[in-house]
Amino acid sequence: MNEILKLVYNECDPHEAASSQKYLDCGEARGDSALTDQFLKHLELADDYLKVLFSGHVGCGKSSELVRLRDRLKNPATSHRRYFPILLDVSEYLDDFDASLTDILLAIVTELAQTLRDDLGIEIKDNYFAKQFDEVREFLGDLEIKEGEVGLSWIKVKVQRLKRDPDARRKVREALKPRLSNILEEINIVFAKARLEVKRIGVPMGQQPYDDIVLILDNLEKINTFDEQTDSFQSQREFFLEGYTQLTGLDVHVIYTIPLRLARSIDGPKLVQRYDRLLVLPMIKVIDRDTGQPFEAGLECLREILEKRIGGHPIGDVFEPAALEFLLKYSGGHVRNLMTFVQSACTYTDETPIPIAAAQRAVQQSVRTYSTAIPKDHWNKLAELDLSTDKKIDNGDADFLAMLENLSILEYVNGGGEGSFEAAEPWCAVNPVVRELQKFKAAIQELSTEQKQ
Amino acid sequence: MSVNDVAVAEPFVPTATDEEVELRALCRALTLADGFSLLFARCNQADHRRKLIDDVRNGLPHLSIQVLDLHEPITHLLDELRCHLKSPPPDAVFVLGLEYSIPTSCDAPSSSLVANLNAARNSFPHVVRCPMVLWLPEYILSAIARGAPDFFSIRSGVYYFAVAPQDTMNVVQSLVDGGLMGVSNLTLAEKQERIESIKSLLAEYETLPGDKRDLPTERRLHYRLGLLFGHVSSYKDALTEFENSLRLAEKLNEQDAIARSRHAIGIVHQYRGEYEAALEQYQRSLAIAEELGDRALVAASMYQIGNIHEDRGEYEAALEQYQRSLAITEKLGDRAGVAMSLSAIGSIHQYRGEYEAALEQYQRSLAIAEGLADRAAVARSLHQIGIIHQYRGEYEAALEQYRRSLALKEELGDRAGMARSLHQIGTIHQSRDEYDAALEQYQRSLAIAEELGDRGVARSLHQIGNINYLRGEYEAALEQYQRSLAIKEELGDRAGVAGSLHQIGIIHQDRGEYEAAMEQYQRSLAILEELGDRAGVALSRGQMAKLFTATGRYPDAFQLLLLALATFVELRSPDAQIAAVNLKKLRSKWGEEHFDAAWREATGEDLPDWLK
Repeated sequence: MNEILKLVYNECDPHEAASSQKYLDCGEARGDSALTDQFLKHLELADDYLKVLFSGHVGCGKSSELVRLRDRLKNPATSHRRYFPILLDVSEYLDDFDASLTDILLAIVTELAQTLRDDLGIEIKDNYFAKQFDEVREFLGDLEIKEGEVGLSWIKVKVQRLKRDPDARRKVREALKPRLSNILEEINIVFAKARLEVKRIGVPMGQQPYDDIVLILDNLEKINTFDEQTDSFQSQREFFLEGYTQLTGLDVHVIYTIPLRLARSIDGPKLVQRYDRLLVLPMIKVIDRDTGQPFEAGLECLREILEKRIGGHPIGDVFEPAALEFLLKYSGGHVRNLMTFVQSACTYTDETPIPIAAAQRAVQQSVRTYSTAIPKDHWNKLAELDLSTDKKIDNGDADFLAMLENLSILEYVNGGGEGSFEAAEPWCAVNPVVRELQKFKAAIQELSTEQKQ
Repeated sequence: MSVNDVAVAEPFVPTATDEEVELRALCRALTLADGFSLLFARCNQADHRRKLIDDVRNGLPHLSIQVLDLHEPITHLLDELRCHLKSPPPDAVFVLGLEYSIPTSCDAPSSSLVANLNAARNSFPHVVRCPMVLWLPEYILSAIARGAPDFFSIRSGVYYFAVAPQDTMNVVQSLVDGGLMGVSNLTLAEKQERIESIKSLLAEYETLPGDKRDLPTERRLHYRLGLLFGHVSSYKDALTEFENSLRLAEKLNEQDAIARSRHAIGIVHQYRGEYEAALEQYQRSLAIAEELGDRALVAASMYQIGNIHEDRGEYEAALEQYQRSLAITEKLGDRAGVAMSLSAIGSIHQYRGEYEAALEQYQRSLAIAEGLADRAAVARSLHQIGIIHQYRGEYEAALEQYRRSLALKEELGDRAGMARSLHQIGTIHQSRDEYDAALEQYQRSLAIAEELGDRGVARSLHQIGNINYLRGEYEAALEQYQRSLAIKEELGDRAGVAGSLHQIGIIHQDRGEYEAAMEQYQRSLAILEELGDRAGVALSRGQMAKLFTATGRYPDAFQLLLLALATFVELRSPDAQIAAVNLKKLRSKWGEEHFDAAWREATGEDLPDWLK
C-alpha cells in the first residue's frame, strides 16, 4: 500500500477540528480577520458581559476557530488580558436532535465545574445544584450525594450518561423544567463563585492572572429542534430569538453558535439587536466577486492548509499540479469539501502523485449528489444569483436559506480592512461544482435569453 | 499507466458509473482508513446491494466486516451501533436497511432518523472506530444530504453503483411488466417503494448524455409511474407521467404507445370528472387501436366510453358499449377484462332497479376476480354486492361487504375507493338512525374526496345534508344540498342532480313552501323518468303524494301512492312499508269511504287487511 496515500487519507479527515498544528489563519483570504481577533477586540472594549453569536457554513471551520479562540484566551499575546475559557461542546452532552434549555443549562454547569477542577484544581461547591441533582438522581443512576456543601465536578460523567437514555433525559427535563427561572438565578451564582475563584487563583511566575471567564458553546447550531417543536427552522428561531432573555441572562461572556440560515434570514438584524454581536466565518475566497477570476491569496491559503496535513512531504509528491488545481478550484474555498475531495481522490488511484483522473472522479461524486439533491425550484434562483452583479441573496426567501444549508451557495466576504469605511460585506456565489451541472447551465441559458428580450 | 489514470474528457457530464472502478475505490477506502471514516454506497436495488457487499468481502478477505442489517424502523442509528457493534471492534461496519425507517421520500429529510444523524454527528467517531459504510437507495441519500447537512459534510466519499445496462433491462422489465393488474395488486407500501425506484431509475436515465438516451425505456417507465400514481389516487402526478409517456411515444412515433397513453390520460380525466376531455382521449385512442387491430385496446376503449355514458346517465348507450367490450374480451380470453365488463353491466341493471340481474353479474365478476387473485377487482365487486344488499334492506350483509371492500382498498392504497365505501357505510348507519356514526363516515369520505378532487365530494355533501335534515337543521341541510347540486350540475351527473332537487323540495315542503316544493319534485321526477330509474321515480312519486295529502288533493295523492307501492313491491324494497303507511294516513284524512271506493275502482278488489 502506498504509505503517502494512507497518511494523506487519514490526515485530511473532514470530521476533526484542526489541532493547533494544522490550524492556519486565513483571515486575509477569508476577507475578514478571523473570529479570534474580532472577539478579543470586542472583549477588551466591553463594559458588560458580551453575548456573541457565531455562525458560518457547515464545515467552514467554526469548531477549529473556536478551539483557537480558546487557546488564545488562555495564552494571550503580551499586553492582552487573560481569560479562562470554558469550551462546551454541546454534542458531548446531547446527541439527540431535540434539546431543551434545561438540558443546555445543566450541561453548562457541569462543564464549568469539570473544567475548573481539571484545569485549575478549583472545586465549586454549590448547594442548590447539588440538591437539584439529588432530586433527579434516580434518573442519573448511581449517584451519591454527601451531606452539606458538595462539589459538582464529578457530575459530568453522570450527566453525560443521560445522552444514552432518552427516557431518563425526558424525566430529568420534566423534573427541572418548572424551576427554570430558579436555575438561571442559581447558575449566575455559580458563575459568580467561579469568577471569584478564578481571579484569586495563584498563577506561576511570569504569567498573568485570569481576568474573567468566557463561556463558549459549540455545536449548538446542530440542534434541530428545541422543546419538541416540529419545524426545525421555527424552533431554532424561537430558541435564539424569543428565548434571548434567558440566553443573554447569563452573567458571563458567552459565545453561542447558531445555524447560518438563521443568521442570514430576515431575523438576522433582530438577532444582532438582541445580542451584542453576530460574527460569521466566511469561506476562504477563491474567486473575485467582481471579475470572477481566481483569487490567488485564497488558493494559496488552501494549499497551505493541505501542506500542513501531508506530513512534511512536498506537495508536488502528493498531487499532480493539474489535480491539485482542480480540487482547490472546485472546493469553492470550503475546507471540509476539500478534505472530502482529497480523501476520495486517494481511493481512485494506487500511486502518488495523485493524478488528474482521480481528482476528477472525486469531484464527480459531488456532481452526482448535487444533480439529485437540489430540488427543482432552486435551479432558476441559482441562475439568477450567478447572473446578478451584486451577488446578494434575498434573506426572506426560504429557498436561498436552504441553499446555504446544503452548500449549493457559498458565502464569502469582501473585507472592509483596517481603516476603511466599508463594512465587511457578505456576498454569495454558486458552488463551483453546481455551476458545471447541465441543469444549471440550462437554467442560465433560459434566463439569459429572457433577459435579452 | 492504467486506464483509470486517463483523464476524463468531460468530467462534469455524468456518465454511467463504472461499477468496477467504484468497487475498487470503495475497497481502497476501507484499507486506507485508520479509524472512523464515513462512506456512502448508493445503490437502488436491495439484491444488488447484497451482491456488492459480497464482492467487497471477496476483494478484502483479510478484513473483518460487520454487517448491521436493520429489518425494522429505528430512530437513532448511533444508539443502534452502540448496542450492536461488536467488541473487539471490526475493521469495517456496513449498515443496511435504513429504508425500513424511511419508506417514502416525502417526509424523509425531516424524519427523526435523519435529524438524529445530524445531532449525533460528533459522537460517531468516538463510538465507531473504523470505516462505516451506509448502503442506501438514492432517495435516502438525498434525504440525508438535505436533512442532515452537518452529518453529510463529514463524509469521505459517496460511491455510486448504478445497475449495469443488461441488468437494467431486467429490472426495467420487472418494473414494467405484470400488466395493469401487477401494479394494482401491490400493497400501498410496495406501490410507494416502486414509485421511488422508478423515479430513481428515470433520473439515472435522464442524465445519460444526449446520444445515449434510451427513450423507449423512459417512455415505459413514465407510463408505469403514471399507473402507480393512479392507483394511489395521485391524479395530478399520474396525468403528468402519462403526458410524458405520450410525448415520448409521439417523438418515437410508436402508435400503440400513443394509443395507450391517450387511454390512460382519458381515465385520469374521467376520475376528475372532466368527461368531455376524457371522451376525446378515448375516441382518439380507439381510432388508433382499430387501425392497428389491437383488439384488447379496442375493448378497453369501449369499456371506458361506456363508463362516460354511465356517468352521464345514458344507460342504454353505456350498456351497448359494455356488451361490445364483453364480446371482445371473452373471445380474447381476457378474464380481467371480462370481469370488468360484467361488473359494469351489473351496475346498469342496478340503476334500472333490476336487482336480481345486477347481483348475478356482480357475483360472476367476483368469482373471476377471486380466481385471478385480482384484489382491486375483488374490492370493487364486494362493494357492488354490498349495494344490492342495502337496496333490499339487508343491512348487516351490506355492512359486511363494505367493510371487506374497505379493508382491501386500504391495503392497496385506493383512496378514491375507500371514500366510496366509507360513504356507503355512512348510509347504512343513517338508515338505522345512527346519525352521529353516519356523519362521521360521511365526513371521512368527504375529506378524502376533497383531497383527491374526486367527484365523490358532491355525494358526501348530499349525505351530510341528509343528516342535517334528520336532525332538523334545515338551513344547514339546504346549504349542503345546494353545494352538492352545483357540483353535480357541473359534472353533468343527472342522477345526482335529481337526488339533490328531491331533497331541496323536501325542505321547501317542510317550510310550507308548497309551490316551490312541487317544482323541485317535478324537475326531479322528469330526470328520473328519463333515466329509467324506477326506484327513484317511485320515491319521487311517494314524496309528491305526501305533498298532495298535505294540501288536500287526495285523489292525486292516491294515484301516485298506488303507483309507488306497486313499484316498491316489485323491487322488493323496504320502502313498500313506508308507502303502505302513507296510504293509511291518506285513508284517515280522506275518509274511509272515499278511499275504499277509489281502491275498488283502481284495483277491482276489496281493501286488504293490511291497509285497515
